Amino acid sequence: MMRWMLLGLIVSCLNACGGGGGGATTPPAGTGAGNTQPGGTGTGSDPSDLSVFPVISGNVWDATAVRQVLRVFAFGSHASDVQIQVWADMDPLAAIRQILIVTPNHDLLSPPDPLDDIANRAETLESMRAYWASDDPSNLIPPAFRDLFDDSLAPSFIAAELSWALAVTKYGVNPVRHRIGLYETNYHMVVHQLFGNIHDRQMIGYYDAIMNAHASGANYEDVMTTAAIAAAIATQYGHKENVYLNGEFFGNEDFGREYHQLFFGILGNYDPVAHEEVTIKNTAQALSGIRVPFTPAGFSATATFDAALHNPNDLEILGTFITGSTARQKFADLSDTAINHPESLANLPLMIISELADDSLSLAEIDQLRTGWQAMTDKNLMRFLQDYAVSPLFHSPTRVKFFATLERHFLVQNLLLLNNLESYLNIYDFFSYNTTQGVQVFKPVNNVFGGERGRDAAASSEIFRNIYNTSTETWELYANASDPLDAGGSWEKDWRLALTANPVSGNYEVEYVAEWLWQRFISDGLDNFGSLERAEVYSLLSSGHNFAFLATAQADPERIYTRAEIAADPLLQTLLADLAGSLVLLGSSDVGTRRLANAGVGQAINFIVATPYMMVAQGR
Amino acid sequence: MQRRKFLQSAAASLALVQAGAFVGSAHAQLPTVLNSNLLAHFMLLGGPDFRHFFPPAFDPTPGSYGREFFRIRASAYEIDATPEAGEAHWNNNFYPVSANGTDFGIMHGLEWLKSMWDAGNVALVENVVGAVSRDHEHAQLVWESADRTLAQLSRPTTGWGGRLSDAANGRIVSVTPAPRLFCLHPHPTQSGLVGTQRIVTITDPTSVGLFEPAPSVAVDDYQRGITRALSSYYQAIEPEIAAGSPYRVFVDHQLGLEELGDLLRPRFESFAEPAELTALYSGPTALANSVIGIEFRNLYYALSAGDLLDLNAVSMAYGSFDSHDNQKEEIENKFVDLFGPAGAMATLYQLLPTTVAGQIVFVFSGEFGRQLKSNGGLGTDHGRGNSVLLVGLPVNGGVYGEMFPADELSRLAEPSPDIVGRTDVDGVFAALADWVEPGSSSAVFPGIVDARIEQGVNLGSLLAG
Repeated sequence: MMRWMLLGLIVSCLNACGGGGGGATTPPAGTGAGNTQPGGTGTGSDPSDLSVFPVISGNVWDATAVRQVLRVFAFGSHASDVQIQVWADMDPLAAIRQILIVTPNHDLLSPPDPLDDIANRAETLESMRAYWASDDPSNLIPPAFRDLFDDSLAPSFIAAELSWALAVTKYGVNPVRHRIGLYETNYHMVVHQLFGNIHDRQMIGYYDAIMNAHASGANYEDVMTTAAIAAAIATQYGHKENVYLNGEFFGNEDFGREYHQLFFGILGNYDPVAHEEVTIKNTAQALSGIRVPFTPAGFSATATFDAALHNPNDLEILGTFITGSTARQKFADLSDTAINHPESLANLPLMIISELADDSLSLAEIDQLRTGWQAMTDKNLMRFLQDYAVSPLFHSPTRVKFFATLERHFLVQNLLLLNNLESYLNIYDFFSYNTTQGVQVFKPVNNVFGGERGRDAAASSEIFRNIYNTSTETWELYANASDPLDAGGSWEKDWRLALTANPVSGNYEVEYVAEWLWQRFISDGLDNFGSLERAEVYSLLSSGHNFAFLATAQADPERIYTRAEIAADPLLQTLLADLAGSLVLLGSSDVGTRRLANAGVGQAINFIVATPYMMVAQGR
Repeated sequence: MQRRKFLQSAAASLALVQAGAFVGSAHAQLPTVLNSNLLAHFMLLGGPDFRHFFPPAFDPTPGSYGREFFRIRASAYEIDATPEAGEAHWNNNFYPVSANGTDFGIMHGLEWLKSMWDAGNVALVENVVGAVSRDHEHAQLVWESADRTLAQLSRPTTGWGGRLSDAANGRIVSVTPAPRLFCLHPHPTQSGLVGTQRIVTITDPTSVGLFEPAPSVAVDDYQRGITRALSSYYQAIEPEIAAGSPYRVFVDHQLGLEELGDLLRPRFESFAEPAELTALYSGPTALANSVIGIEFRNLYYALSAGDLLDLNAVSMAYGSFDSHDNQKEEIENKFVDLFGPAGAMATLYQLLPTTVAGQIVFVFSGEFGRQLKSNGGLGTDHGRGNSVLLVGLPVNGGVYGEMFPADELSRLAEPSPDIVGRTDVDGVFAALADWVEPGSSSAVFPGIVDARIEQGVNLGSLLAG
């Protein structure tokens, strides 16, 4: 519903604003120019930096390996094939230092699109929200929907989510930043907008504070200090009411516990009684004095501090005395202790990697992760992820990561979207993840314990059903090749924006397109693109029909073929070869032919994204 | 069913009919009998404070538990910490009941539960503990697996509901969007792996199984093309994908959904949803949390297919019982959602044939309890021991375990006093498992041999029949 409402209204706006209309004003996605990034992170800017893990060899580091990194850490990104090959040809460590950064823009991963001005407004989630709420002539959100992004009038709970979901898919915005942002605020240092009554301005302020800290190159303990004393956390956990008066503490100890457990992985096994009765209680007291002013638009995004309500004494926490006359000072001191606590050293690296990249860590791999983390003198999340992403740990075939709903959804979205026009037209229904019950951004299904995990999604037949039925029941969503615009003309899908013709033949043969699609979406080096997969993808690409429909000349379209049958039957082999060599007429001068060809690509994508291989990221 | 129990249940049914509870007309849509006894496992996530709803009777005697309770819990009830305020709160907010010589209360607003208590169909098992930590994630892992040996940050394992359905060779229904750990069962062919084949997820009964084009859609329609391609592809790769493959679970989902769709679609499509059920999640009478109404709707549909599915267990959940702040506002309406006179349980039992109701037991519990004293934030912080609440016609009502142990008063000065566990969680759940599938508890709960049961408590008498 929202898709079509947005579609119609955005189209109207596009025409009214003169920002499009012909649908052919955007350049091909990413030309592969190797320009440097503005606003470096301060981490890993020197490619000669040593990794805390062994680095894979250049033989392993190929275009498929790069794509696997992008799948897991960048929602696939908008990087061009050329750029991916450039990285594949680089030294792995040098390449990953370029790829995995959290600056607001990342032209190599997500080249700007001149259609709008979002690349210049991407500094923070707040700046993007404000842009999409504004009357700026380049803002392509239709006026009727800009209120959704406006949090200034009354407490709202949707602007943050919409802004994030739009940002992730936009050319000109760094998807790595927002992939990490999702992890940090929805899985690690979580607040829940609805359960915690966290209004959009608080949510966005919290998100930006964390990601700005990461982008500045801050060590992880400093990022966590920033989060710990944030207004959103004080509101979520209720310690904005914690006070210390006349030598007596009044308040709850909720975050006093979860700061250690959820932020640092300190569970208290070092001394369960002391942890329960001293550390947690004193951490709760260290929070005293943090206040969150209330405004007509909701709780303030910024916490204040009232020294008169704070326990100014040194407090014994984690077996040491934590000093500071303010909550900020105490937590800066405490975080320095916590990051080096043995339980944190053991658990935090596992928490990071198991959430982001690996559901099947072995004991040996756990040991390596811990060793690598402990070897980092300055604990820096992005540096750790960079090193991990070019290590054998990430590229091992034993690494299995099941995609959570949001991870898979935005991966597919980004690989479908070829420019920001398609995004603003909402061709692929960017908000459809929301129909999977319980899956929302900034409203994680397990409250402060985080969003839906990939392994939970994998266990759910209901989530699989939604994915599968999207490809069948609503098959036209991905196979959409044109839409009329209100003021005349039409948007038309043109896969040539991302796929150049076969350099040998100059054509788009079915086999060439099919392999490109499989690699774009599955990124397995075609390892799982066998005869059965080829049979269906070739058939759908060339005709829109399934293989049995063609092989039996419609006589038995539901017949099931096995790989062995295909291999043994010369007629089927011939059919497959014929299909492979037929042309996908993406550039036909005949509009009907051209659109049918692009729809065929979408039909093939319907198949590819509903295979088991689109539900999992596995190393090679 | 034992004669005494039968008479008790019949009396309860009669009382509820007289109270206007059993007036539904939708019985005809449900089977008159399920293929198996059915356990409905209801997780109250976050650590529910059962004592908030079932406090000791106020006792003016200085030093008595009934007096101290309302003093140390005053902020959670948002009353003054005076005997007068405690007595007034007791008098104005609780129905007095008693069991085993202990007087306690049932909160106003929970009238349906009170009627079931009066009918002998509610049991409170006291001083139950799962994890030794007060860590939500760990405690939920232990609670839903009923495996006390699992360490913090352990990998997911099987749940005891899944293991129960496995032992009974039946199915488990999840009415939450993603199946909870409780549902996961041993893989049918690969030792050491987790399986999902026995799980039936029902979250939208109007759309079950995989999409199939309408018969009117032409054979050469593109929608048929993609639908056939995927269906035949999954069937073709089924023999190729090994049980240990990470891709196998999706093949199992596809095949299972095709089968379930064929089985359930005709039943659900002809099913007229009772208006009372719809009203739980839609319209002006919807529950405070309509998601709970939807879960009960889904449960009802599952029961309507009870003759098609060999159901042994149902997994349900209600979140946000982690009441560090504003406990009164945070949790009271949730219990009213469940147990109020127009709540989910009252509505469901209004619609159930008595024969089916006689085959279902609900167990309400959470991963841990709260501390004995409320905090400065009008709430309570994490504890360990807690109550487990059982509701259903087969339940032999009463209190199992000491309700308010006197030694708790002597521990009030400790930094974080909580309810001391005397009965291990698997000890309680084993009684339920054996009721669903006689003799299954030893297979479902490997640690049952050393599970503690509070002295003097006979959990074998929790359930009739």
